[in-house]
Amino acid sequence: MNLGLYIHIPFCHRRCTYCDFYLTTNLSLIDNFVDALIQEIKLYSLKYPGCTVDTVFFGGGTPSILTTNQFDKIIRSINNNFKILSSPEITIECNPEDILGDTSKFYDFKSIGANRISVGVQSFIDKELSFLTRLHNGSDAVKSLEISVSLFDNVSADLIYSFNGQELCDVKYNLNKFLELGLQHISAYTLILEKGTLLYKEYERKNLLKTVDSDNPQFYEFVNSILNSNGYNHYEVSNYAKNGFRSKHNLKYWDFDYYLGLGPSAHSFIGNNRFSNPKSLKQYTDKLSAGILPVETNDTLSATEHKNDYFISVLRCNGVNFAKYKQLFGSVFMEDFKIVAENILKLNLAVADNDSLKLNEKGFALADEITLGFLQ
Amino acid sequence: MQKSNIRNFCIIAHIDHGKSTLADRLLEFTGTVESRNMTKQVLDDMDLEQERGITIKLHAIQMAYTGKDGEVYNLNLIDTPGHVDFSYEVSRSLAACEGALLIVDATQGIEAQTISNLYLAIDNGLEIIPVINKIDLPSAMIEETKDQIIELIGGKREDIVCVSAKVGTGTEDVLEKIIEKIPPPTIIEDKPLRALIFDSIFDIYRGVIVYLRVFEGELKEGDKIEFFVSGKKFEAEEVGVLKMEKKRTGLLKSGDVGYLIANIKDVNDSKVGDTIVNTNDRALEPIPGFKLVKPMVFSGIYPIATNDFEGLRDALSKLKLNDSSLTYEPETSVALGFGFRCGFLGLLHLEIVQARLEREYDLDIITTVPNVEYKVYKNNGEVVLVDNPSTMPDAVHVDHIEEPYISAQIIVPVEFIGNIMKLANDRRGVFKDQHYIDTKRVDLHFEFPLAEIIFDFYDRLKSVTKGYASLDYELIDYRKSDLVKLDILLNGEPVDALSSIIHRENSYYWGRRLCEKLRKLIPRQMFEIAIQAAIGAKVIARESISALRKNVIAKCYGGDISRKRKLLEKQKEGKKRMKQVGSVEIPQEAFLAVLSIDK
Repeated sequence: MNLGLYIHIPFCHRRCTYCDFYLTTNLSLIDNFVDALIQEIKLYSLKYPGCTVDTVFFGGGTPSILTTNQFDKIIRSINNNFKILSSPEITIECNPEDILGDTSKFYDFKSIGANRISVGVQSFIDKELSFLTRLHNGSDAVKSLEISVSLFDNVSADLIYSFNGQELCDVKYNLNKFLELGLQHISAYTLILEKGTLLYKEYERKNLLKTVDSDNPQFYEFVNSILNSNGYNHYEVSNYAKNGFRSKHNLKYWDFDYYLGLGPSAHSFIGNNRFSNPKSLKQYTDKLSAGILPVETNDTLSATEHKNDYFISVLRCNGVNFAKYKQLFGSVFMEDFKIVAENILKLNLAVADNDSLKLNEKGFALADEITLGFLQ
Repeated sequence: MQKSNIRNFCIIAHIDHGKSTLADRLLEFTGTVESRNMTKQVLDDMDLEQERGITIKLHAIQMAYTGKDGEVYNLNLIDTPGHVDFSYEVSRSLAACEGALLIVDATQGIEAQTISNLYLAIDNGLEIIPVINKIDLPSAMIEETKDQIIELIGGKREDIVCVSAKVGTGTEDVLEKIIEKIPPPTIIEDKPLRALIFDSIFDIYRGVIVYLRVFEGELKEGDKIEFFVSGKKFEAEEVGVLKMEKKRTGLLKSGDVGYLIANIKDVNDSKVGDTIVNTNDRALEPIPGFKLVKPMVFSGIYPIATNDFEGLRDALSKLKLNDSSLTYEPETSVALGFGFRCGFLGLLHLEIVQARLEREYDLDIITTVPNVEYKVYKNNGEVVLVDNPSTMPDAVHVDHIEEPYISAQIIVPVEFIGNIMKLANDRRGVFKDQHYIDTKRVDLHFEFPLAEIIFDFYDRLKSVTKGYASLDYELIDYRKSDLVKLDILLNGEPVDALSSIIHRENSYYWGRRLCEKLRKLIPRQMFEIAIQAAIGAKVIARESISALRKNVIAKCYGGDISRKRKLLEKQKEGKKRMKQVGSVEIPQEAFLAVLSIDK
């Protein structure tokens, strides 16, 4: 069995108002966390003996908060406990303030094995960055990316757009900066207001919730056209890559492959099980120091859920691979979903050949609407 | 002739003025039901009734009360529904009584909704006992309310009872007044049996249970009986009085209210208002006032899921067991598939049936726009009855169409006459005459096409008169009208379930508004949708719904697919409640869009 490893580093200097990921700002707990994580790696290697790993993704939180030493321990432990396939993709999410704050540490990330960097830029415009309560400003963003690109061959950056008060020219400014810097990969997300976040509450208080139109196609279509015309292939709803630089790890999610999530709140999908860790660092470390896997939810998918999850995942990216569908569900896709499939083809929302059916640019914008047609 | 200790009465009240709460207090005070066994508002035992605050089905209950004079009295409370759809049933309940409690909310004063029932009661010769409720509330205007009552029905201030049904004050005063004021029934034992049916319900074990009032003679178990109008003959198996449970007595005498079980299989055999007589000693005349209740409003009811059709048939047949005025026949719609054309007394009746099918039988259904029954005179001399717009013969074969007209009585404070006249004019009403009931209220008579008042007329009437108008109506005849069939097309395909028959003068306005309404109700879909209104081949209005261009969540929650799945599954459930017509998904509300169009 081959797995992608996701490692959740639940620490940040402070919480951004739009973020609803699990994290803490108490950095004194990092050492304990690293010990627990190493314990978790050991326990899973015993549970899945002989399994191979070809991608490792450090997400957060803010993984770049960790010291070289801490990363080194974690990566060593992965190497010692899992069989790593040749030329694995090892990604670390970094924030500009960490890259600039200790550049030598950033150099060390490369020497301990990281080969892909994902920078949490979000914007190059100061007023947007302060709206998003980020710790860096526009020029920090540029400088940190310049360093990243000079050091790594595979650099990705995040962009957040389509929020209240933003104009198309602002998005254009941000995209142009990315283009100038020559990144290999861009993740561009429309702002999602998650219930429970500070930003959501602020929008609610100011009675602005109705003004957030994440279904407004104008910005999305604009981003798509600029990136497409500059050599970035729109391969997932919100992801764009130069040839050969798709995120191998994220493709695990979208190709319905297996992944193991480590760290608090991390989710895993193996076989027909979905399981997740508690959203609590304390529960997480307590369990592991007692030698127990900290699994909090563990669902065996019903046949319907399994199939629904398949469509939810694949339609965002590479679409339905007929051979894989047959292997998973034992039937022929174009027979099972003849009407629905023909309908989206007729509406010019998807393309199909002998091997697969996938959504096109117009289809990506409607991926959820289209997915509904395939759900049981 | 002799006097008895029986008192038969009902309660007339505006919604929310406390009818059910007062009834509860009376039941409690007389020990008919123990307070610890009380669920709130015993009388209204259907969920729907409690929720809507209206009594739909009639009920009756007997209380034993020892008066201050030491005598034991049998008080029969006969409940009445409070909506114009059921005015005939109300009239039959009133006919079974000698008196009525008129409940008025001390914080609201008299509201006209009760007035038509009040006059019905007065017409039936009932003694009225005014009761002012909610006197415990700080905003109670007791003296003003007394003034209003005296102005309305005369009488003396000291005869008005003041109560708080909620806390229970004044309950005994009400009971004493009932004994004192309401005449006991006139006992006529030496004539052949005549008993009035004021309600009947179907019990799966016992068959039909008839609720009745004996006027003359007596009814005992074993008697051979006959229903005067239906002509059906039965043998009385069980008779008794109605306590919280049925109490078998074997005999009901003149003046009594009670029940009869006689192996009756069909509620249609025991029609409300019919007279029970003894086959061996047959009374020659029925009790006057019987009317055959016929459905006046028709609508298609369709299951959303086609495989629910048999379930719907089953549910309708069960509802029909208890509701003789409901009719249903299978029909087919190109848009909606297999369903039933159902007939109702009025719009409220329709809504009740609709709600019961959804709640009690857990069916997802679509109700099409209600309409009346038309008489279509064809060129070849043939006359057809049309109760479904989609079966209207092609215009080229039609000579003329007649529609049902009603005579309407509207009682309203004089300051609203202007508003009523305008409303009547909008609804093709013909003013007949008026007379002043007193200096403040006027009784207006109109004739309307029934089609104009089945939609939202009652609501409009209430809103233009601040709730003060009351309405009563009856069918008078069919009249020739310039009517057309208006079709709705979605992406060029006619949706038969959205067709309607309307007056030509209104058709352009109607078509335009309907298209606008549908544009708002039909969600955007992955393609553009054209909505057209047409009379024959002529398109008279058009709207379009632009294609949905974006519906996708940017991020997939770091591998937490379950969260996304739950979100999408919820959306999918919403879609399942829509009906796919051609390629277009139409929400249920759209099929009733016409109802909310202001004229």
